[in-house]
Amino acid sequence: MNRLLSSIGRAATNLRQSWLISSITIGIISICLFLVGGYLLITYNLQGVFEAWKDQVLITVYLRDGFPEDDILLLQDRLSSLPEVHAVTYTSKEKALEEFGAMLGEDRFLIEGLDRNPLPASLQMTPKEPYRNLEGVRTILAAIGDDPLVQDIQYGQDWLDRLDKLFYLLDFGALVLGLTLSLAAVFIISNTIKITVMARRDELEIMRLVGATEGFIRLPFLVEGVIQGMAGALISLGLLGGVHLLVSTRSDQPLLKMLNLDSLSFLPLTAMGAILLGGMVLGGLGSLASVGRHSR
Amino acid sequence: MIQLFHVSKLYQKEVPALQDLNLHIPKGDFAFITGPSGAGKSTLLKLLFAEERPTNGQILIHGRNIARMPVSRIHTLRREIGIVFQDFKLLPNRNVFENVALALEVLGMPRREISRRVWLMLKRLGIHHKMRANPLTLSGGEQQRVAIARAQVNEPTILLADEPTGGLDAEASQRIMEVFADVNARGTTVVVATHNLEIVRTMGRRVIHLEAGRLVSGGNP
Ligand SMILES: Nc1ncnc2c1ncn2[C@@H]1O[C@H](COP(=O)(O)OP(=O)(O)O)[C@@H](O)[C@H]1O
Ligand SMILES: [Mg+2]
Repeated sequence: MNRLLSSIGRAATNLRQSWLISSITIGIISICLFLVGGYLLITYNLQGVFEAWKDQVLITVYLRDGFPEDDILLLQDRLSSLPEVHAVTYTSKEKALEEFGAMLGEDRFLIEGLDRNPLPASLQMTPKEPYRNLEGVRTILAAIGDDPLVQDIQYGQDWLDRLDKLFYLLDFGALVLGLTLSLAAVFIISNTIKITVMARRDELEIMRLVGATEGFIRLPFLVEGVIQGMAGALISLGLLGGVHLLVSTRSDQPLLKMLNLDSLSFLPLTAMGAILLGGMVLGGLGSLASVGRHSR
Repeated sequence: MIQLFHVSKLYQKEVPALQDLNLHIPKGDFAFITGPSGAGKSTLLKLLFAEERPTNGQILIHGRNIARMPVSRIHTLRREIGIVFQDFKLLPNRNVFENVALALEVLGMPRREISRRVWLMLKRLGIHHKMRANPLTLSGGEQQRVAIARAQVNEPTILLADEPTGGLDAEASQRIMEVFADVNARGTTVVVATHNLEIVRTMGRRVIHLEAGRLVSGGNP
């Protein structure tokens, strides 16, 4: 504990003495984290849009004519009790015709005077949240199984397929961007800290001569890296906050209109925590990489 | 106690810097290592504080074989040995007191104890009045005394010096030698590498003479 405190003290002295290099390091960390955070911010906000799309995932079960309503209600009960299903609504043949007529508007005369209602009755099912994707829908289809009442099931397969791919791409993008920028950051940080190590090599040489352990020598650099990472993370969060404020208070808000959003939300706490932690890890790794290579 | 058995050192593939060296320096001894430039004096000292490793042979310090010492243990050896160089190696961004204190800070000693010991050491060497000075503002002789204070403050049993008077005038050199004699009188083993034969003659101590990496004379006390 005492050692950690004295290391923090020495790290602070080091930061003060090589403030220019430290600033560069902090700047690089904040740029990298700003880019990652910006990506997260954008996808997080679009997530709302995508979630809204997901809300539209609907399975329509068209029913055969000629079954008593009791049978249909029994099927509705069975489907509602499926653990993957959120709600099931029943549209009778009459209601379907009525809705269709409402849709036709002035042209509704086209369906007036029909001797037989051509529209089937149907059950509309909305899946629960984790099942609002292709796989979830398939689970539900399997659960419905073969039922004599069921004539046809429609759920917009192509559209769901594309939605799935989009989500996958977004996650993949975050991973690739995060990894690439993290690697770049560690590389750059290790090089900038290497400069401070070089600048202080006389001091390190003498510390070794008078019997300092490697741990004693490296701990301040590790602390220094972690402090720089934390500072970089805080700056990037500040920048993200600034950009967020700027975009969301613009009067015309063309971006929001384009995305069909009411408001732009900021990163959730967990994401901010992850960015902070990420910065500290990046800084620590960078410093270890640089001191490791330069000792002895 | 320092013992060398058949020690050789080759840098790369050239001629050896040291060849088949056998040497015994008992505890409390005061020995000069002499020889022309390139004879291997500095290399010998570097082997003793494990800055370099011998290509062949064994080096025992207080009975421990440092030729086989793992890197992670070298700090224990360094705490037994004080080292002084021609160029002093003082840190310009620390004052005299802080330069000396560094040797105790790495031991994790409490601040008060560090202050007490550094003060006593600076006083013993007669530079306590320059405690807050930047080492670069001191004369060569004073700077070397600060370096000796740093090498002595953790009370090592051995003091190694590589050309400690190389940059000093005759008078300052003489005074530094008196400091070494005092350190030795307190029981510390002192080994001084120098090509200054004048100093060696006036001190009248044991002389280990090297030429082209080979021991010419003075291998045993
Ligand atoms: N780091 C090194 N790499 C290669 N050769 C070295 C190195 N250090 C010393 N030497 C060579 O080893 C020999 C002995 O050098 P040194 O021990 O410095 O002699 P001295 O201190 O007696 O002048 C010289 O030939 C020198 O060139
Ligand atoms: Mg030399």
